[in-house]
This record gives sequence, structure tokens and C-alpha cells, in this order.
Amino acid sequence: MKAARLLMGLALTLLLSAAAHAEPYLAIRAGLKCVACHVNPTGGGLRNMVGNAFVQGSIAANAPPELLQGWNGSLLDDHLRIGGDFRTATTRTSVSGRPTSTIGGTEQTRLYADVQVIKDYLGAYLDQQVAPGKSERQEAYVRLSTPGLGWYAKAGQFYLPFGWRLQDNLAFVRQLSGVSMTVPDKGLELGHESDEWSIQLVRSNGPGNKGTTTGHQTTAQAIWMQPWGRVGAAAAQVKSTAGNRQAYGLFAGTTTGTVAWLAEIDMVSDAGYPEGTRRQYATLLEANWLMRQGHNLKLTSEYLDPDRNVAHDNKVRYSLVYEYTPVAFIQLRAGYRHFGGIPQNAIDNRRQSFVELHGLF
Amino acid sequence: MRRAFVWALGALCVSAGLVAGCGGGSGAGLDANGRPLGEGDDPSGPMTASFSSIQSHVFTPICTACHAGGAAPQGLRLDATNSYAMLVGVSSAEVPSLKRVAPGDANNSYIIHKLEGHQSVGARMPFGGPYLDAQTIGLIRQWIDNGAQK
Repeated sequence: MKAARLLMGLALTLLLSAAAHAEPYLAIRAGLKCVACHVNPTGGGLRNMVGNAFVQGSIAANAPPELLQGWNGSLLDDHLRIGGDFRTATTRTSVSGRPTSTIGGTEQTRLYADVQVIKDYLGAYLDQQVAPGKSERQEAYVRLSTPGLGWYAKAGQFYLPFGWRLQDNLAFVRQLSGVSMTVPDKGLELGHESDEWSIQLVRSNGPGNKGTTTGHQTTAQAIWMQPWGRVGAAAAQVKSTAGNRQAYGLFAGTTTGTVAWLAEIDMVSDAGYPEGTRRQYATLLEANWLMRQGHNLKLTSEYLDPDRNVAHDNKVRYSLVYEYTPVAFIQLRAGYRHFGGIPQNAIDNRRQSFVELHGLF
Repeated sequence: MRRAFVWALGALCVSAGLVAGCGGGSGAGLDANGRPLGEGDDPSGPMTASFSSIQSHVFTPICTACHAGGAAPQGLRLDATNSYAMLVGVSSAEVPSLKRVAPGDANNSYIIHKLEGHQSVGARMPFGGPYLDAQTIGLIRQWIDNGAQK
């Protein structure tokens, strides 16, 4: 009885949740901009009608159940769009000299809503994390735009645009830049979308400027789209009583046959460290092999230099992840990560294996 | 123009690949926290229920991967210079009714909630794991219950 209730709960959660992961390799592979599939012009979160059709027809191995075919998240003549995201995972970690640990459970459940108050001109977006723990707002902003998003403005709380918006929030480039899909900021974003360009300029509080720490952050990003791929550059300047910080990123993506490539290099100079300004950089190289529709093999290689003034302290992270999307609403992931760091620190040399279930609707 | 960008893209990919093809650093001349020997407290040896030991065994090697510098999440910087002042007797940004560290009261210290995974808001720390073992959290609890002295 208990097992049946659990299964019903899981099924219900899946039915109420919509896949809304940011996976830039999908955009690279399809030659689409982020905004082509997402409500949010900078990608991630709730998908639009094209995005829902794309995941059903071009990502999943099989057609969805008849009942769910044609689902596009749209209600009230597209004045309201809803979705969500459910992830559960089990991760096994091995650290030399310590017992192997295994942890599992819900990583997150998010609900999304987008209301078009005046179609194509004025909208409001909400990304609310409802589990685990107490409900927590991730994104909530008002969006003013011209039709087709030629120009737009977002005001409220949102994720900053800086480099590839990866699903893996623990990638070195996301950790170092301080910009990921777990760290929203409050401010104003101005953007422009054209066939060849995607440009954003943001003035925000700065995620680190809280409590007694005050200041602001300016972030700019430009992506140049071409038939062979895309190249982007991003810069962020933080003015803070905790120490100023500058971050610069270069990123690019292309395809070679059935492999979609992503690369990114981020450089940070941060005056908020006890010894003074610390300069750091991180790189990412990711290859996504489309084995056949619904089956993706992801190989990622990362490097982090936590202090360019200190030698022999670099870290690496290698990941091999298999992603299977049997139908548009479910994705299974299994992977292995190999960390490398200085031999004195066992945790920096850990190994992790994991399995994940994503609700995709 | 186009050819130049194709070359730039190729160079970016190759350089990222070459750099990422390396292993971890040798650690020569560094302590277990990856800092030059003598710069901070020696993190070798067993951890104790003192602030300096917790700093060198937990905050510096684990937490400062994110909680440092001008972009520290929630403005919480846990490097050796700032951590005590930002933790002890300071209200949590996520749950302001709770102190991050309430001296003498580990059960009502938000840091313990976040480390043990029964926080009311957000993710368990360290984000993405591996989480601290019970013995390590026990020593942090002991430090707090003993008054969270510096």
C-alpha cells in the first residue's frame, strides 16, 4: 500500500513537473538560440511552445503517451504558461581513507509560471522552488518587450547572464564565476535578440552583497550566432564593501558530426581575500555525443586554478555522463566524476558516481 | 572575418582541452588547504572543537570554494579573516530569526541546520556534497555549545 502511494506520488509529481533544464548543447546541436525554446530570453527554466514541441519530437527516444501528446504548457490562449522541474538523485562518494558514503533524495522540485498580461509586450515570470525545505523564490520578474523579443527589459529577481547556463551548477566555471542556476540576483536586465546576436546588460545588487556587505554588480554578455556555431563573451564587475571583483568569460560552441562541443574560460580577479587580490581561472570543455535520438553521452573536462600566484595548487574534474530520455517527460542520467587536486587533500581527489531521475513534462 | 572566428573557436577549444588534460597540482610547498606553508593554521593533525581547528579543517578547505570573495553566496565569507565575524551572533540571511552561530546553542544555530540537512530554506551544505561526517559536525556543535569562542 505504501509502495503504491509512493509510486502514485512520483507519477503525480512527474505529471505536474516540466523539464526546464538549461542544457546549452541542445541549442548548439539544433542551431537554436536559448530564447527559441525558453520563455526566459537567457535560457533555462520554463519552455515555450517551440521548446515543448522540440523536446517531444527531437530529444526523446519515443513518442509520449497519447494522453500527453501535444502538451505545450499553454493555458488561457497562451496568457498563462506553467511548468516545473523535479530531480531526484543518489550519489556515491569515495574519499581515500574514509568510508564510502551514499546520499539520495529529492534535489529540487520547482514550479514555473509565466503570465502574459499584454501578449508579446508585458509579462511576469515566476520560478519557485518548493522542495526540499521551505518554498523559496528563485526568479520573479516583470518583462517588457517588443514583439519577437527584439528588445526587452527584465526587472526583479533573476539569474545573471554569464557564460554557458549549465545544468551542472557545480562545474568549476559556474562555481568560480559565482553565476549559476542556484544564485539569483535582484536588478534590471536590458537585452537585445536578433538573428546573429544575443546581448544582455544587467545592473544588479550582486549576489554577495547582503547583510552588512553592500555594493552593486554590472554584468554584460554578447553572443554571436553563426551557422557553424556561436561565440560569446561576458564580463562582470562587482563593487562591494567586501572587496571589488572583476570576472571575464569567453565561451563557444559548435558541432562536428554527431558531437556538440562547448568550451568556456573564465578569469576572475577578486579583492575580497585576506591576502589581497586573488586571481583565478577555470576552464570547461564538454563533448556531447548523440548516439541516437534519446541517448546522449557527455564527456566533460574541467580545470581550476584557485590562485594564480600559488603554484602546484590546480584542480581538475572529469565527468562521464550518460543521458537517456525514453519519452519527453522523463530523463535518466548516470555518471561518474573523477576529481583531482593536491595529494594532501583527500576530498579534492574524490570519486563520485550517481544516478538521477528527472521529471520532464 | 568568418575564418578568423572559426580559428578563434578552434583555438579556444584546443586550449581548453589542453589545460583540462592535466591532472591535479603536485601540492609542493602547500598545506592541505592548498595554501603556501606557514600562511595559515596548520590543517594537519586531528580536528578539535576550537574555532581555529574548524577554520583550517572545514571552512578554508571546503566552504571557501564558494563562500569567499566578492561573490560569496548570501554575502557569507568563510575565509580565515572574515568567518568568525560573519558567523557568531549574526542573523542568517535565509532565516533571519536564527543566528548563523548562536553561542551556547548549537541546536538553534543555522549553520548546524545547513550542515545536518534539516534547514528550512535552500540546500544542505556543502552544496552538492560530500557532506560532513557526524564526528566533524559533532565537533562544530561542541564548539558552539561551549560558547563559540574565538
